[in-house]
Amino acid sequence: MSDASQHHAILSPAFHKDRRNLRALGMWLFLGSEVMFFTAFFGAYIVVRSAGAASVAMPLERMWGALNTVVLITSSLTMALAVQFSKKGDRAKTGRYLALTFLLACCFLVVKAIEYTHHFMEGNFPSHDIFMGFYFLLTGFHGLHVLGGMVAMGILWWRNRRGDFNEHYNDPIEMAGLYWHFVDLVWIFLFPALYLL
Amino acid sequence: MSAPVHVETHTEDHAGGITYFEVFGLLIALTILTVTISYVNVGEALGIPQFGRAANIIVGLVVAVCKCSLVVWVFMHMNHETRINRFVLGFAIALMAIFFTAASFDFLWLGTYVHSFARAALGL
Repeated sequence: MSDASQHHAILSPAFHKDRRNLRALGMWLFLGSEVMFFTAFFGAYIVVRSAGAASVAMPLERMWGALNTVVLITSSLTMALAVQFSKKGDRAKTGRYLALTFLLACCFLVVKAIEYTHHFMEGNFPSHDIFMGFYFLLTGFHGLHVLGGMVAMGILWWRNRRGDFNEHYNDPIEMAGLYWHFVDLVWIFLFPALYLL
Repeated sequence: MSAPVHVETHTEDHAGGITYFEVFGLLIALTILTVTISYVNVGEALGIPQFGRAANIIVGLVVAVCKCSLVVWVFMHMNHETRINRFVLGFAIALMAIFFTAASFDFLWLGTYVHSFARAALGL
């Protein structure tokens, strides 16, 4: 038993619950601000599309988008499992699922890079038209969020290996999980809005 | 590994009892559904061709909202979350709804009775 888990074991369950709930409150407030961030861009996109840009040619290959949707949904599942195993104090499985989530995030960015390369080779830069402008704005900011999630996942994998987390204390993994599911949620709306509709 | 994995944020309850793998299956199924529907003109298929693409948008967004709810409810444990945390999320969604509605006033209500009523009320 490491120092950290001895320290956490002597604290009462009510303390652990209160601390977890307060951290979750902080995380939900942050996610609320993230919702507003994407709402602004999404709202602008809705207005532009509705106000006469209905004839916009959808230049995107929907199968790439569908593939990335499946990749992100799968990564949400592996993240949920990582959180669950960390609550049970199973460090080996927590580490495995965190690594898997990291790899899936990597896959997502690779697919996105392939798509971007295609767009650039076809001369579809953000300045090409209003649609491509919004496409790069929305998917670019979403991609940065994926990148941020990967950094968090890497740090947590290392901390988990070091033995920072146990059945009493796993808040950082749970909060990173909330963030990761939010990134998945944004994509769940971006995919139909940009590729399908 | 295929043993059912229950949603357990707090050990005392797992309301609903839906597993992560079931949610994952539903999310994949809904993704396949929304991609398939995107190849169809929903308005024509439902016999309301005047709706055309607008019907596709409504169906696409409804499917997205369903997927979103599954993720928030089960993966993000909103089914066990404290009241204040539910309030924060609910408020963010409400603000988003207000923003979208207000931003789309000029085209959403154009040509509808709401628009006519507003014009009449303003004496235009």
